[in-house]
Amino acid sequence: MKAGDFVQQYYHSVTLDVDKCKGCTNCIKGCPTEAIRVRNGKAHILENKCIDCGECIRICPNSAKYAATDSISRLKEFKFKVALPAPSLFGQFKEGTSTKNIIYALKKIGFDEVYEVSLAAEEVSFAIREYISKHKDIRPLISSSCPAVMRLIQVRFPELIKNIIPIKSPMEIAARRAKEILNKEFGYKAEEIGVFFISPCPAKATSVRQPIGSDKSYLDGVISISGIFGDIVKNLDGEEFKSIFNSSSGLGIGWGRAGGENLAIGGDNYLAVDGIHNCIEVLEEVEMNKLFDIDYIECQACIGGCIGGALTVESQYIARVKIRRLSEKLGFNSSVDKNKVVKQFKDGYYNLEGKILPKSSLKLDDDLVEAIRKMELLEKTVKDLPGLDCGSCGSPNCRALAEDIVKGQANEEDCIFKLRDRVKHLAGEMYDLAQKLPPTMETKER
Amino acid sequence: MKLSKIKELLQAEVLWGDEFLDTEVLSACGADLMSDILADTKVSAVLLTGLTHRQIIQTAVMGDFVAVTFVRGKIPPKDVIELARQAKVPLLKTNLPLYETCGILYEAGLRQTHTKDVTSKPERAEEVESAQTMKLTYDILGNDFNNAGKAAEQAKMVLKQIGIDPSVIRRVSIAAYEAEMNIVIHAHKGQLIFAITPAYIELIAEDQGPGISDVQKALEEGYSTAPARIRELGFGAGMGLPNMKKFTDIFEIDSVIGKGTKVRMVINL
Repeated sequence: MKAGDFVQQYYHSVTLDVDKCKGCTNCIKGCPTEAIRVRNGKAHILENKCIDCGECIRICPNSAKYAATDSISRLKEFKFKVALPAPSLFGQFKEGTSTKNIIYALKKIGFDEVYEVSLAAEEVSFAIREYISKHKDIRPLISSSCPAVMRLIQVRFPELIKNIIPIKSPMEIAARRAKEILNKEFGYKAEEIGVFFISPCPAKATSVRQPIGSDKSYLDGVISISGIFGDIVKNLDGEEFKSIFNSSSGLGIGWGRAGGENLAIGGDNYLAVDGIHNCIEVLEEVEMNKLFDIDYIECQACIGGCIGGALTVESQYIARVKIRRLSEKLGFNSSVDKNKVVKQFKDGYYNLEGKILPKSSLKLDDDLVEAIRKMELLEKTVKDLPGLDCGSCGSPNCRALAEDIVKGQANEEDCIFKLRDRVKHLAGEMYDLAQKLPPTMETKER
Repeated sequence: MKLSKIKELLQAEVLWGDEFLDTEVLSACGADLMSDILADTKVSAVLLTGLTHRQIIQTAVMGDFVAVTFVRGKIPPKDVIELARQAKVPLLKTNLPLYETCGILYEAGLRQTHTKDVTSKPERAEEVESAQTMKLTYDILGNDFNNAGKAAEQAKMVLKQIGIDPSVIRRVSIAAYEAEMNIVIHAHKGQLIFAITPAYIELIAEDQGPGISDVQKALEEGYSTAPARIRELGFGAGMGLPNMKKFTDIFEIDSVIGKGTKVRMVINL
């Protein structure tokens, strides 16, 4: 891989509101990929390290981090508008709210149709099951549904790219289906249909702008759950809208919470991991060949799964119960034709058509000899730092500061303890100098 | 002895580097095992070998060899000659076998055994050390399952930052992890030492422990002496040493009953 391959600037949904940022160090400490530095009193997101997981949005006490998503006004750009509610959306409202109530509300807000992503999740579940049974050479396979995890693998675990199951996410399949059906039924052209994902997280917004393992997304925009929540709550008073699309069962709705994906795929040798720090821990183990006897890992960046997304409204613990009850109520008989899925799977309908490329953000230098030299310097620098990981220097911990110093992006004196040492040293020297008298006076003093 | 004299003695042909024939040669190292070549410490020596792959040139550069002579009439591929040209390492070829080559040169007086002495040439040794090799040392405690695997994990992060090829990192970290676990499971204490160079990564796992009574048996997949208590934790599947061997290019083991075990592994880049 050449250095030039990384030149393209990466689009991020997670953005800083400069006016609100007070330059505190909460976000740098919480970022799982050490992608934030505080410089000149403001946080800076390092584009090549950020994975859009949204941890900083949750952590920031001043709400200075936000996710750039689309406004509902963008619906005007399209002749026919389709909402794609994430399964997690159904866990956001008060007990007793049905999926039909929510779909009705979306219709009243201005959408012409609603395609439940949970329905596509059922198709994708069957496709994944088929893939796992047909491909036994790589273990464990890792789910491709969470874009933050995909990007985490690209930047930090490039060797595990081959473990990612090359199947599109339910969001993409839902958008593809919706456009195909609307074209067939009403003759709309793809560009006349606006398909908007109602998203629990910023990473999905990024993945629509910049799909991983694919050239172009089938979606036209992403609206955050928190952004549309108020409008939905006001319109939950009916359920008489009849969609031309099928409804999902509890199987697809379950994808909204951690473990739901595995449940829908149906297997007994699967692992479900939630929370980005936990994902890192497990991926480390996969990298060391410790989990070679596991078939499939569902990795989700947010604790609790998508219901824990940074753009959700309801507490993930309450949402989890709601999703479970809703799933049980709807039952687990999917309307999706499994045989059709298997056939289309063979035709490549679900496949990610592109390659997922490594985007390693860790390398100190492209030249190996130089990188080893820098690494040695880094180890030496770390030893000289106090090891308190206080973050006052604007880097998340002493090791990260050492890395920044080696890369020429920070100085040793950025460490307040190092600075104090130097001041102390200088003060001592000044004191010594102050004691010195011209020779003429020296004898007198004695 | 000048390189031109060696050429004459061995009836050798210069593959590349006529302009280096005046180079003074003090000694020679004859070996077909990478580990032996790497371990050689002679000064201004010519390397005599039947190996013709790229690593030979890289190793010759690292070991400060002044020239390489291929024995048994071996001729390296074009890209290897090109690499030597870039590294300015002259290449010779002789039809004689290694044994005779060594004998002829030894007979002719090429038998100086000066080693690279750190004290006599401090700046040079320092330079070689710091410019090309990075060492990482981790202390491992026996039975410390809380920290088991941490050393391998930390070393893996370092390799990623250096930018080592991911597939190599995977092999190194698997070997390191298995070595670390072996110390935790079987020994009292030990060390994991990594030497990272632009040509290879060397990994030494040395412990003070019971030693291995039957090394050949221990290298068989599935053979384990781990107690039931350890197996219940999911370790001791008998894949440790076999995995270390499988994922490394050089694997050497030395074990003394009642004292400890030393495993040396090299993975070429």
